[in-house]
Amino acid sequence: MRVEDLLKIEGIKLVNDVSKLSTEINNIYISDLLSWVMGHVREEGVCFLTILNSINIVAVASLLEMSAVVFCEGVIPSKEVIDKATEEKIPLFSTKLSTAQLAKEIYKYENIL
Amino acid sequence: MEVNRIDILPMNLESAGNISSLIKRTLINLRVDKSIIRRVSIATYEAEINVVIHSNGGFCEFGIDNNKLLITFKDTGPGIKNIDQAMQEGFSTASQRARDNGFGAGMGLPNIKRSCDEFDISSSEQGTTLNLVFYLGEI
Repeated sequence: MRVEDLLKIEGIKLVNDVSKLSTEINNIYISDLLSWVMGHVREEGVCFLTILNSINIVAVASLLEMSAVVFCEGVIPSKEVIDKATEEKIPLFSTKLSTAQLAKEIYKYENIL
Repeated sequence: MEVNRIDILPMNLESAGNISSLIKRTLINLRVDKSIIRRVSIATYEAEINVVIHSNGGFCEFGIDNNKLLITFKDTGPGIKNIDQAMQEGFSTASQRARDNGFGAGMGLPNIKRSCDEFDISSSEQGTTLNLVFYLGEI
């Protein structure tokens, strides 16, 4: 599954201006604790599902070479998060779906594991 | 050995990650193995965050010598009361603001220790010093 395929899921939208959406999603990871994420995400290309609207999300996503970040449950990232992510070329998405619902949709779309 | 020094401001969450990004870029330019870069990124980010959220400020110094990356994080206090406790996964003294930004899982120091090849920490009320070494292989 590629990052651009996320847009095929109903109720999800891209919130920043990143042109490269062809990156492959290798796995998904759900968490709102960044140190936990740093310690447990083992591979590149992870799509990160969270409700945490923090500028530090971008640094973590960038350092761990994540393919995308999706803010769930209607969380919309702040302007500083969007600007920083655009600068770092990390695609950000937002959806009203819960993290669990979105994970289910992604698995339904394609078995990414 | 050429040493780079960068200051770290207390509670400046917005710039946290700048040092780890700089070190990461340096290693990419040297064509260091990706899995090593990943470990360095994790450790340096966690260490940077620790100085930002727990200390009165400090600095990071790094340099490469004999295919080893040597990194020091040093702050000016208030120090870690009980290092053994701080090394346990899940133990945290992070403030509410740090927790609101996704920190305080109590994984910082354990993540750092797991990621590096050599780890040394010392602390007093005057400050904490963390020395990390990574073996970079042939570069």
